[in-house]
Amino acid sequence: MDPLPPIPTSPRLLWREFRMRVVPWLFLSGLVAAIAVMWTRVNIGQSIVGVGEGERALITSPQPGLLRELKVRPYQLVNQGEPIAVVHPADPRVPLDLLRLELDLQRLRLQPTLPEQNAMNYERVRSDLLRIKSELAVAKVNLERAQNEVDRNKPLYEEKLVSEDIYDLSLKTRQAFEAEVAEKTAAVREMEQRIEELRSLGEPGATDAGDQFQQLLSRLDAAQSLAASNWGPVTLVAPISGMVSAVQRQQGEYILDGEPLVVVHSLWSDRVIGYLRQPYPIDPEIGLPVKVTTRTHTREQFWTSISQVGAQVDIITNALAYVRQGSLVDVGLPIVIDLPSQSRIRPGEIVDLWIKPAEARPQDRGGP
Amino acid sequence: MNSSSLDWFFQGDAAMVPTNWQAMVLGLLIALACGHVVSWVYMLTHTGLSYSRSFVNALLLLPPIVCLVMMVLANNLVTAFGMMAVFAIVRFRNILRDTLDTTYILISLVIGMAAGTQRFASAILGCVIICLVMVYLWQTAYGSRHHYDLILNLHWTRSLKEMPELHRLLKRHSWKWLLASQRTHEGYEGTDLSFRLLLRNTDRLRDLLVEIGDLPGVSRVTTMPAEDQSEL
Repeated sequence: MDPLPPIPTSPRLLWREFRMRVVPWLFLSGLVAAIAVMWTRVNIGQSIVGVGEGERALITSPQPGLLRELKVRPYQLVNQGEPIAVVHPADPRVPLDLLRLELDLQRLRLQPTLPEQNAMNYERVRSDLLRIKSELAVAKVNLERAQNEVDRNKPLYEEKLVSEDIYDLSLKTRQAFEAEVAEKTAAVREMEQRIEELRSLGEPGATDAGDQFQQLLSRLDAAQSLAASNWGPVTLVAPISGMVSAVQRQQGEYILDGEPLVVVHSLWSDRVIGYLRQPYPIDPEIGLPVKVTTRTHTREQFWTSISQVGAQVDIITNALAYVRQGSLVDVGLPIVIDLPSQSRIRPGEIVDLWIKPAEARPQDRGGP
Repeated sequence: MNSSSLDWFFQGDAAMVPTNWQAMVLGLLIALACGHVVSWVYMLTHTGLSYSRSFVNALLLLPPIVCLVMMVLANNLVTAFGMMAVFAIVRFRNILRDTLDTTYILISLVIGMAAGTQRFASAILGCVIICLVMVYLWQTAYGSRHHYDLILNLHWTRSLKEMPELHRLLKRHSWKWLLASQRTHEGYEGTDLSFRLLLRNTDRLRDLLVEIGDLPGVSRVTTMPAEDQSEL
């Protein structure tokens, strides 16, 4: 039996069948394709938060005294070198210390200097040498006289005109003088050699030790004068430009040396600190590109790189700390990210960081 | 320095942590794809009489909705309790027989929560994506396992061996047909047949009926439209 020719299918029915049978497959295929594309592009895992950090200057008092004048208020802008406060030193030990220093200086001036002591010792050794030389000359004369006596007694002793005791005495006397001459000759030689070696120390003007001593005295004099002049009011200046973030002491208060008076923060951060918590979402390396996204109203984004990676896992003590239940502290591996000069991130501001993995090619995603 | 051209939109999420909208879209897409696969597996493996197309649609819709719920909650326990409370109130006063109705309630709650927690961009984005999916489900009649246009009942008085002549006619007018029922009784001449037809052209239904009526041995021809959403 031959099949009948099918009637033409209406386009509406074809479209309906397409929608019901083909579109779901296309839809799922599109989903899978979109997921595959986005999987490598979306910032998953490598995103962390960081906090901006800038310069911070703690202005302290160099000496105890009275805070006579405070020239700044909290949140006031200051420039580098601008006066911050005036401190009037008020330590009663300072005049006594100055007097004690003056006495020490006078004592130093009255005492013989080291070169002078060296010269005296040198002269003493030289006089000893001269004395030994004169004794050596006497010993040589005595030796000559003892030799003559031996020469005279020897034939007399052979002829039995002098006793053996007298002859032996003359021999012993000669030997004693011979030994004295030999020892003193050796001593003179050694002393002469040693004096020659010490001549540079013993002769005045041979070294510049005296000049050094004079220079030291001059410096001590200058330090004393400076210390005496510092007894006046001291003006403390701002070491950096920025904003006064805290004023610890008020005008009229007595302060100790090293006591913090004013804290100045820079207006903008020059780096961002982030912490990688374990397990690390990425292995941080110096130079890895980082995309910084601010949390300002207009979320600005810019690329920079990791400049430092911490040597150890630290306890997080800043605004990034998130102490989980059951933990005492929050810890993480610090990474430091330098900011470009045109970035405008305030110190303490939270930013979002996305670290590009080392294997990813920056040009694939429009990175640096 | 640069910023995305859609930043003005995504800045509408006034949350503590800025929304990573790319991750959000990716999460929704993954949930949607997985829900799609799960619903297909359900359609393929379901046995029994309780098959429901709306349940299949709910299987597809629930993953992205739950994904959106988790994004809106964002570890916020208070918001989570609030959502449970609102859902309980709605459920307490309404008997939701259809799973898809529950899904619609859920997405309405989530969008409200997102807007209420000042995640405006998330609310809009989630609403758009979920609504697009719902339109997709509607347009494709997603979840229909046995899709036919017509139920054709007739009485066949000839021998069953001569049925191919009838089949030849059905094949001419339909893409697909199914003999759903065939009834004979002792002492009863002929056979009652019931066919499900997927017509080639619904506008030519009259021609089909005329040709079947002209076929010898065919009588008591009745038709009725096949319901797409009936639970089979």
